[in-house]
Amino acid sequence: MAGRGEGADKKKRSWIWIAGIGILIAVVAFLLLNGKDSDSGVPTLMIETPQKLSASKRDEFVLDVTISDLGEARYPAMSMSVSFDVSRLEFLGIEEGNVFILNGENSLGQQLPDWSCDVKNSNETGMINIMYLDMTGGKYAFSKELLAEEDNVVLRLRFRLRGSVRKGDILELNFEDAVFAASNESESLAITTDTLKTKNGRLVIGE
Amino acid sequence: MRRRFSFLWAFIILISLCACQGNFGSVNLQDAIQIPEGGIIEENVIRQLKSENAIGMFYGQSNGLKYEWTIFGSDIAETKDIKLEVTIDEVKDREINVTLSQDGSFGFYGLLSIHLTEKWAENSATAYQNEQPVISVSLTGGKNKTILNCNLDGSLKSFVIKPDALSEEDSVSKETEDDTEESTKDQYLTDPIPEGKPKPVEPENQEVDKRKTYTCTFSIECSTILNNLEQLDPDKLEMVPSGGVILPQTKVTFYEGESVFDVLQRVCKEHGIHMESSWTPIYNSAYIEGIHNLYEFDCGSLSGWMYHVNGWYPNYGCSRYQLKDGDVVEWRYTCDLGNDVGRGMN
Repeated sequence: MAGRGEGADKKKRSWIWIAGIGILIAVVAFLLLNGKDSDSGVPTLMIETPQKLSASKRDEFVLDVTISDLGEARYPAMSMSVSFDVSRLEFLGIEEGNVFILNGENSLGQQLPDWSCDVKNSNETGMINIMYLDMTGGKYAFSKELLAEEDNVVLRLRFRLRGSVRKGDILELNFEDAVFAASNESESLAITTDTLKTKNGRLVIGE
Repeated sequence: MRRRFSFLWAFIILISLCACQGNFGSVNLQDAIQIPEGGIIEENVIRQLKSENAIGMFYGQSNGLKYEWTIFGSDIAETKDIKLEVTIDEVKDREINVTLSQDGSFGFYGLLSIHLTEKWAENSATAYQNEQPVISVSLTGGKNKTILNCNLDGSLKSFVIKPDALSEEDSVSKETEDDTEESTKDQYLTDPIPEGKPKPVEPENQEVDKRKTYTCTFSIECSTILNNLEQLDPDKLEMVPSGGVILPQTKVTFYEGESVFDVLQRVCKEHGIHMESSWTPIYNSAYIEGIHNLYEFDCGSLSGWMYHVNGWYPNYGCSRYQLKDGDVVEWRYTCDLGNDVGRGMN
C-alpha cells in the first residue's frame, strides 16, 4: 500500500512540475509577445500624422507631439525645433499637452510646463523653436514618474493650411533638433547623441 | 487527477494562444511598424487599418537609405497580404532607382517616403520608367535633408526618380544666392527701380507719424476671372461678384509712413473683406495670398493678386511701398501673371 502511495505522490509531483513549466512558458510567451517593440528602448518624440486634410478647408487643426518614454533622470529643460513649409502652412501657436512637470521639490505632478515660442518669427523663418526652462534648477522638471502608460502629449501644435495648398501636396513637419536636458549632461536625451529618436509628422492633402 | 491536469494544460495552451493572438492578430497602429524580412504585411494588419480607419506607418531601410510607407485606412478598398519591402539604390548622382517587391496592385494607394541624407535644391522630382515620366514626386524635408514622396499602388514595380530642372524663378534666386559678384538686384531680389518711380522703404525703417494724415484711393477687383471662369475652382464661383468689383474706388485716410500693405489690412477690416497674407522674408514683405476668399491659383496656375499704384505695378512687395498723398491703389486679380491686367505695359 505504502509503495502505491509513494508512486502516486511521485506522479503528482511530476504533474505539478509539468504544470509549473507550462505556466512559466505561457507567462514568458505573454510577456515576450505582448511586450513593447524592442526598439522602444530609446524614447521617441513624435509629431502626429493626421488623417488626410482637405485643400479647400481652412479650419485650424492641432497636432499632438508625444513622447514614448523618458530616462531615469530629471529634465529641467526641453527644446525642440520643427521646420515646416511657410508658403503652404501657417503656424498659429502651441497648446498644452498632458505631460506634467514636478511640482516643487517633493510633490508630484499637477503642473504643466510653461512653453515659450515666437509664433510670428516661426512664420517668418519656417522654423518653430519651442522651449521650456525650469529656472529653479530642477524643482519643476520633466520626470519619467509623471508619464502615463500611453498618449503622453508633451504639447500640441496648431496650424492652418494656406490658400496655396493643392490636392496631392505633402507637407512635412520635420524635427531639426530636440533635447530633454538633464542637469548632468551625460543623462540628457538628444537627437544628436541618438538618445532621443524623433518621428516627423506628415500632412497629406486630399480632396 | 489526470482530468484536472488535462484541464490545466488546456487552460495554459489557451492563455499562450491568446498571447500570440494579441501580437499577431492585431498590432498597435500608433507605433511605426518595422517591415519584416520578406516585406510581407499580413492581411489582418491591413484589415485592422481599414476597420479602425487608422493611419499605418511602416518603415524599412535599403542600402543605407531609410524609407517609410504611410497608409490611410480610409484608402483601403480590399484587404490582402501586401509586400512593402523596397530596394533603393542611387544609380547615378541624384538618380534614385526604386524597386518594389510587391507583384501587382496593393488595391489602394500608399505614400512611399524615401529619406535622402542630402538637400536637393529643386522643388519637385519625377519618377521615370524606361525614360518616360510616370508619376510626379513631391519633395519635403528639413534644412539638410530631402524626403522624396510618391503615391504608389504597387503596380509600378520599378522606376528611377530624378529631380526636375529648377524653374527660371528658382534658378534666378539660386544664382543670386551663389553669385558673389556685384548684382544689380537689391538684397531682397528687387530689380532696379525704373526712373521716376518710388524706391522701396523697408518695413523696419518705416516710421508712422499719426499726427499727419493723408488720403489715397483704394479699389479691389477680380474681373479677369469673369473671362476665365472655366479655370476657376468651382467652389469659388460664389465668391466672384457679378461685376468683378470687390471694393469700388474708395477714398481712404492714412498716416504718414504707412505702406500699401498697412492700408490694405485696414481697408479690408473696415469693409469686412476677408484678406490673408503671409510674410516672405526673402522679399522682406507681406505676400497677399487671398482677398475675399479668392486665392492665388484659384483661377489657374498663373493666377493671384497684384497691386497697381498710379498706373504702375511696383516690382517689390506691398509692405515696402510707402504711400503718398493722392496715390491711387488698385488691387487686381490676374489669371495670367499680370498680362491680362496690363502689367506688360509697365
